[in-house]
Amino acid sequence: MANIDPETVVDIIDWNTFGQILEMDDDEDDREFSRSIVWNFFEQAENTFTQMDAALTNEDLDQLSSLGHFLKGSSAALGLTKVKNSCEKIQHLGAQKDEVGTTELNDPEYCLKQIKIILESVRQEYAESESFLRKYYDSEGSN
Amino acid sequence: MDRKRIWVRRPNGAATTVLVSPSDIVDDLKTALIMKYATSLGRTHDAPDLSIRMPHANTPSGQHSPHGRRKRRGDTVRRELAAALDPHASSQHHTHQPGSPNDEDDRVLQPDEVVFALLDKFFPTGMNMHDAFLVEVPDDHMPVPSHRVPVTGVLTPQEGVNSDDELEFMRGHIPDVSHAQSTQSLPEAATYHPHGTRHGLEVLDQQQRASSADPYGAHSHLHQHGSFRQSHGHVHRKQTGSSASGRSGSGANGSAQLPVIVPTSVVPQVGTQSPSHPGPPRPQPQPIQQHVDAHPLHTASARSVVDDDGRMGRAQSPHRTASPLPHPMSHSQPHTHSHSSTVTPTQQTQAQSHANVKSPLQNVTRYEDDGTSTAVADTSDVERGTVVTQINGHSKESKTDTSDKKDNTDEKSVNGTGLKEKSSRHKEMASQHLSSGSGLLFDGVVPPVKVLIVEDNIINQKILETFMRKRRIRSGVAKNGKEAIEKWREGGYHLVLMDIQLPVLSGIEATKEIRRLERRNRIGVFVDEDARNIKEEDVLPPQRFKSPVIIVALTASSLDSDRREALAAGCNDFLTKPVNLVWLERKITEWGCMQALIDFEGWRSWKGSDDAEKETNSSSTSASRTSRRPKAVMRSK
Repeated sequence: MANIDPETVVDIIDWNTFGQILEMDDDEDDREFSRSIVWNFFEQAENTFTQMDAALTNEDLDQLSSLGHFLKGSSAALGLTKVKNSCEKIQHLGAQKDEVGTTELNDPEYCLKQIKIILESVRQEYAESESFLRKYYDSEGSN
Repeated sequence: MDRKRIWVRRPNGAATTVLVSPSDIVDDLKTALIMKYATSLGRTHDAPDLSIRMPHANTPSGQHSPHGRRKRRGDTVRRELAAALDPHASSQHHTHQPGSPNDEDDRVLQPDEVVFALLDKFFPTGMNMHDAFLVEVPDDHMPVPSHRVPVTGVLTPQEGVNSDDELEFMRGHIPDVSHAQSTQSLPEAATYHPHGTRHGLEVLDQQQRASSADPYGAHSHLHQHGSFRQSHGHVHRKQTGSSASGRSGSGANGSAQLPVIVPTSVVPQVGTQSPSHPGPPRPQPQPIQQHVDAHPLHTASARSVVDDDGRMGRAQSPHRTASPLPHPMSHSQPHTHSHSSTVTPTQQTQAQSHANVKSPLQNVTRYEDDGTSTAVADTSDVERGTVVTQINGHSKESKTDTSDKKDNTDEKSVNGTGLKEKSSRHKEMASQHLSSGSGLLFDGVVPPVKVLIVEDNIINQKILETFMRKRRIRSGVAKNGKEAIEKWREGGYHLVLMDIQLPVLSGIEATKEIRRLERRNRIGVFVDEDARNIKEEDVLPPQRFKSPVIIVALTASSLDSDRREALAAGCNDFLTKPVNLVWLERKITEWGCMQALIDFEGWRSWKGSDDAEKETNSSSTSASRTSRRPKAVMRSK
């Protein structure tokens, strides 16, 4: 716990959103529902990253775009803002648009290159989020 | 004396009053006026757009002008009196540009002026009705049509797009604020009773006329929203009727003003912006106020019926059965509705439409009924949120009005580590945030609808499913557009939450297909002309599809083009992902209650209330039946 500065938590997770998930827990001691959601997300994220790696190797931009979109949905639902933003970028770049999705790029080389960079950073962001969430649930459980 | 009465009137309208407090400035007065004119100005204008003039030439037809009294008020007033005697002054009002500096006879009140000071200065002996301030909107400030207006014509009603929707949508992303607004408005609404001082038809503009002639009339246009077959024509007739009478009424006043007013108030109602949301965020003091008293009873009965899983429906007399639908008439005058054989289709429809309006608002009303300080808690949610994040380790004070159920856990966690503290405070925010919204449905009205969740991501699916389950809303899940169509074809769904970007078949395509099938099967208002040549594979079991399903698009991006595409495909509404659950809840209440009303028969059939059927074989419900297949409806039991 001590190694996470409370202030940075705000960047990692949007509590308004995550709070809504927590709110759905019947029992605030075991937090069964939100815990299962979060652990499911861990699984999903790991899977997705693996698939993204594969798609990157295959230079399959469409697949990258749809994977980006997929993970964007769940990370957004949990309030993992950073991960969500990166996934969105991957989605757009995969569709050969710029990061914000407004301009057509039609430059597969560039898009793949960008995605590669973002994929690295999103893993990092995910790791932060995961570590934070695990700690959160650890401390919840010990209460 | 803590508050004073201010007389105001609209150009050509009758005088009416609002109450102001000593600290109120003109800006507050404008806000109050927006509430006062909730169905006319309030729909099309924001408070700052209003202009309030102190007209010293405001004696409408020269009748009973208290000139003698005025003379006592010193030089200013005397000079202004000269203007009052100018016969042309009155007719100039509507062309007068508020704020026009070269008109010294009229004084446009500046937003920062203290109302009491004005009163003391200009009306030391008290304000008289004939001193009424003029409330105007700048002529050039006509409501700006939504950018979607041009396509409105080709949209079917269920696709109806309007700027109100959009507004509401925008508000949806700051739910605390919108909530704050609507709750804040309540006490004021009670004070500024819109009907209180009306003198007759001459004073009303379009919408007010409609509403004074028939309290529900002003809201009937909401039907279009839910694609009511019956209501469409009816609403229209109503509109023309009232506008005709309006013109003759104003003709008596000999004013050219109506053409100015009419577009502001009528156009939105008839088409351009028409299906305004009945949603809570839009403060509509009228209905709230009228039913505040009856509400607790209503909630109680609604809960009991819904909670009892259909069992109670059997034992209920019809009006009780109806009570889960927020139906103001059914509890305040329980027998009027169900037993009266003289209820005409028109009345019935109006009542229903009014109930439509009521339902979501009821949630808002609850804050007052609870008798706690929740209204206050609510309004301060946003600020508190900020305060809590900024001031470290100081969350206790903000805790005072947190919902009870959360208090213990919060207390416990506040003393934890820094992170812990932080997160618990955040949680607290979230819980306040949530309890402000979700407390409603947990023990409030749950629309008896079945929701189809179309989501490809299992996480989001689970969240939405759990959300529904916790609120006892039946739901089904589809993971792509193709599955969505299949599930929908099974029938029984009232509301579809449709993710747009889906594998196999997109939400857009699925929506289009659903709408196509509805048209082919003549469900809804806009149907295919050659629907008789329907292919066999397109045929839907008629008893399960009485009205078009409401499709709320879940769009991942806030890009306008995405929303437009969704709406053009036939979605009724949209939410941006991540779905704000508070907002989702409101959408479900709002759309759900509407669907439950539209498909009342269907709803009752799954509630299995046979008793109700016997009772309602009488003319009253056959009149209310909006289905064009009454027989099928009865057989479907």
